[in-house]
Amino acid sequence: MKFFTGLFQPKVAYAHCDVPCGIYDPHNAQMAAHTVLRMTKMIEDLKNEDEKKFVHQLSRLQKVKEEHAELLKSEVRIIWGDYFKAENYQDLPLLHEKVFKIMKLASKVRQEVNLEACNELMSATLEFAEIFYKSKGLEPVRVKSPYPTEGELVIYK
Amino acid sequence: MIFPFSRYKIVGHSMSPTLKPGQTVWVFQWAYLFSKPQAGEVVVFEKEGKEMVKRITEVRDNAITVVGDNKVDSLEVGSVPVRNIVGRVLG
Repeated sequence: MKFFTGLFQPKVAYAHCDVPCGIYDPHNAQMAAHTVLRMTKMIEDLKNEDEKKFVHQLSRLQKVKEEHAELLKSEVRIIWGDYFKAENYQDLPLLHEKVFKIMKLASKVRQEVNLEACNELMSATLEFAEIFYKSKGLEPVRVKSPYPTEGELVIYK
Repeated sequence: MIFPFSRYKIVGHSMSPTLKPGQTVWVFQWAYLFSKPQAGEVVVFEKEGKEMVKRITEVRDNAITVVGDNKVDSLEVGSVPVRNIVGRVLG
């Protein structure tokens, strides 16, 4: 059995060019922040009229909340770790602080059903997107998102 | 290439949502022994010493062009010699 387990140990297949390609975008992180906020609102609005349905729906909402909080962390980590360079850090002293805040908040929104933390996470993620676009010499602009959260999205002009 | 199948763990986002980071896939290493690669197939191939996973967009005589499904995170890797294909991703 060990022989076969060892034989089929997975190797790594890279699904990123790692050139690095220079293609980075904070849009996925923002979508994830909106998703976490939406899931948290939906959990708060859940009514426990039928226990089986309640537990089932709560499980689904919780799962998506967990996944998107983790996705948000991953997306921000990639931009922070792979895209930003030392010269950016000198120009953008708030970057580390912002990323650290996002990591902590993304954990908090996983651990709790906390709308306030979700809104803080959303703000921090939007500010991170603004830092990103500014670092590329683009002018960031906030627009109303088309999502049920009715929050904002950062794009660039 | 003694065994026809091998397993790979996906690292990175360029093939999302088809293949997500952390997902494990089976790769058929004998896929192109008797047939040619086709556009649309997802393959693992070797490029500059790394094994990468992308989708074939074009097949020429002895080379393929590949790109990731997630255009936000993916760069067209360009031309890859057919001999550098490790195998076809199953499923």
